[in-house]
Amino acid sequence: MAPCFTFKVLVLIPLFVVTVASAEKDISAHKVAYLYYFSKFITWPSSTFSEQGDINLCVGEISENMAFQLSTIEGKRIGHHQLKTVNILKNPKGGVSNDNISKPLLKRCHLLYINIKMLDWFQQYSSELPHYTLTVSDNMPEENNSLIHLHRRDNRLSFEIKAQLAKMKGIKISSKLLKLSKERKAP
Amino acid sequence: MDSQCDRQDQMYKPKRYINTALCLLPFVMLGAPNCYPQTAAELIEIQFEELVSMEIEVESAGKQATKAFNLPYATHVITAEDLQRYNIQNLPDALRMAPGTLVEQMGAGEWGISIRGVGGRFSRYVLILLNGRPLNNAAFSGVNWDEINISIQNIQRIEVIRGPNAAAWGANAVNGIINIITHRAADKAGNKLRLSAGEVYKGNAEALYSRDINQHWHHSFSANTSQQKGLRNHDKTLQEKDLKNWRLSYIVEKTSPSENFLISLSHFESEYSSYAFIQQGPNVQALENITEKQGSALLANYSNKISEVTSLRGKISYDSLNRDFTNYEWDSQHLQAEVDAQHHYENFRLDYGLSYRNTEGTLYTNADFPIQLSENDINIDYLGAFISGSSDIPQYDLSIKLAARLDHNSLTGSEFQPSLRGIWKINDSKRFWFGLSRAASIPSVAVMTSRETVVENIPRNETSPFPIFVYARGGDDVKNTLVDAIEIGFRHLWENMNIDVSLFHFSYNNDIGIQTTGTPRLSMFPPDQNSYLIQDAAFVWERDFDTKGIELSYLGRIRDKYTIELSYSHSRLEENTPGVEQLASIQVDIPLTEKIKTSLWGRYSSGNDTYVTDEFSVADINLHYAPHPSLLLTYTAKNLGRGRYINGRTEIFSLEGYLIERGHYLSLTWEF
Repeated sequence: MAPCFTFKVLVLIPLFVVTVASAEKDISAHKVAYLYYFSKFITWPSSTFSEQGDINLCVGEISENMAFQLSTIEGKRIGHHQLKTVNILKNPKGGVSNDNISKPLLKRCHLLYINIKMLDWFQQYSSELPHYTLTVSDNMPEENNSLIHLHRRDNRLSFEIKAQLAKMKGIKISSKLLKLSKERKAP
Repeated sequence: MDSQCDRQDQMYKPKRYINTALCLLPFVMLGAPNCYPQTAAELIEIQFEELVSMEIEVESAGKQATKAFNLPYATHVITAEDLQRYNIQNLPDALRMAPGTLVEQMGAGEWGISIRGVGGRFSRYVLILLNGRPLNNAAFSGVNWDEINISIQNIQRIEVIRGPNAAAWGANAVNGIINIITHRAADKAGNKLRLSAGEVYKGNAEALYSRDINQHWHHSFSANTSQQKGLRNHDKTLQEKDLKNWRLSYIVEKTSPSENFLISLSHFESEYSSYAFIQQGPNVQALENITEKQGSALLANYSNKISEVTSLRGKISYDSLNRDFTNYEWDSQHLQAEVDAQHHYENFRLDYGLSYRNTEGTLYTNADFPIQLSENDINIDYLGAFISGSSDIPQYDLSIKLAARLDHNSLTGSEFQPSLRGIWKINDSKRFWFGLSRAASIPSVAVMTSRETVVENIPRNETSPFPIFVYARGGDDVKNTLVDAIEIGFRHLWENMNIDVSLFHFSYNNDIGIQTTGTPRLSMFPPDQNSYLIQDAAFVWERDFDTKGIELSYLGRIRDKYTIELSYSHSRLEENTPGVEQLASIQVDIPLTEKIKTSLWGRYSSGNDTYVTDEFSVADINLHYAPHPSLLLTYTAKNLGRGRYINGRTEIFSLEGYLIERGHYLSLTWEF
């Protein structure tokens, strides 16, 4: 009985090693999963919510795959709120420019996902964002004004948080999220 | 391949199951590429810590918060999610998840936890901590787990560090430490209510409530009560009373960027019964030992980041316990204070600290109790100082840690406990670590001050017309047991899995043994039918022995949907060393639909010392249904397979084993 069990354990493990090690990660899915968790472990002041009580996750020009992944978490419940994806571009195919960005929609963003295509606009117009917006930059130069910096590190997706800056903006970040992040210093 | 599969998914969703089936076939055969579409919705079913992958920080090992992956220790962390997934109702059951950890249940209210062998009810080689406060008792050694009846909902995580950690924590951190860490008030753990009822757990209720007082101050309150079925003996003629207990805990905490201050208060009461060995003349019998306990604890923690490179931590705790048993009374009070400092100088980190502990108490036993003491008062002072230096050597991708601790106690004197550990960061995903250390364990007061303890009773037989009782007394030359340990380990992290292997060799010196003195004598002369033979003996500290073994743990996620966790340990123990040769556990999580999940947990042991626990092969099935995001209904069928079995016996105190049984129960968890 005992050697048989040992044998099974020893045989099973290499099987899984081969199996799972060969699996490739869909990085868009992971980024969106992280965005979901950011909205789950962060608390915004109650005054920032509309009557519907949605947590608005704002995006600009994003890949089709990213859009598909965002659609899979659309409407997920987070506490008393629902997660809603909002595209802040008036014309989604019109590129990222200040003219093409809807200011009323921008004012409703709890999270704003910023990729390299939005970097120039963000650097120039970040002051137009509401004070409570949590900005998440994706794989961009580390020295930007975002609160959370998402990037690939050691072959894994990692993130860093400017905890002090978030606090100043009245955004509460759970200790669980802080523990899993690397703290960044505000520039 | 991945993107192709994604496109297939979007274009041919109705064919998803065919696609899945086709993908499964080569997967089962030899492990195929991942064709299964991976969506964010599926990924968020995975706990965030797992998604970030082995980034969990462990603070108990060497008192340094370090990512588990980079620790030169064999480490396992049981998270709050694990506790929920397997519908855990008490702490010892949670520890069955940790590799190399043997959990023995001797009764409804009695457990023994050991790591890497040398187990038993009074095992003194594992240090148990609750938020850093030691819980091992000095009177009998071991831990009274019924006195740690904290709410499972209030546990943030349990850190299980295998191997010596005495350089940081002091005496008894020999084979491992278990640090139970509860939610802090500032954790935003949320408000929870869990109700459970069924065969094994007849009625458990837990409530956790936390809220912010203002921006910096937070507080939380937890309350729990439980009733757990008493165990029965083999022929079901003796039935223990149910374990009934309750606890209230309150935490108030202040947080700021550089400072943290926490005060925690708790009070508990507990009652149960067990059947204890008593001797009346030549006869032995089982007496129902009804137990009532109550206790309170106060803990204050303070930490301050004085500068970018220097931090200070202080801790004071006090607890008081009253225990009333049918045949003995035992009260104890512990006062503990410690202060630690940490400095960083580029690649070098220096930690040092001082600790003081005082244990006071009384222990009065009835005449028929198997242990009679020469002193009834207990008063022990412990003093300790430690220093630890860690250095990164980037050119060789090495981190080395040299630590030492000097402990002194008023019973057994001083002990020096050094440790050298290192980790080689082979690359981003591989680590090799080693540890060389010495640790000491202090014998129990009951053994040291024993006037006479019945360590063995032999009934009348062909060679002796009288029953024989062996009485041992405490020796004069009391020594600490010293353990020299060598450990090595390797861990490898992939995208969706990790493997952790460790090997150990421990050499024990001066362990407790029993040496007979003189020849047997009659209890009375001339003898009659009530006479018996008395064999005098003494506890001696001369036993030397070795243990060695291997531990392996594996965590894998298949198609980012199913989670498998395996742990296996094999220990080679010398004769008369209580322990288990092989221990294994397999945990599988299978989401069935968005609202329904199942979690399976199999446990196995073999090569067991007969005094410890029966060999077993059992499984638990948990079925979870979440009708609403804030509600979770879990049905658990427990200990399937083996049926009734002995999971441990109390040495000296007990005449026979009491069996744990299969059962099922239902839990409702509400987060609000």
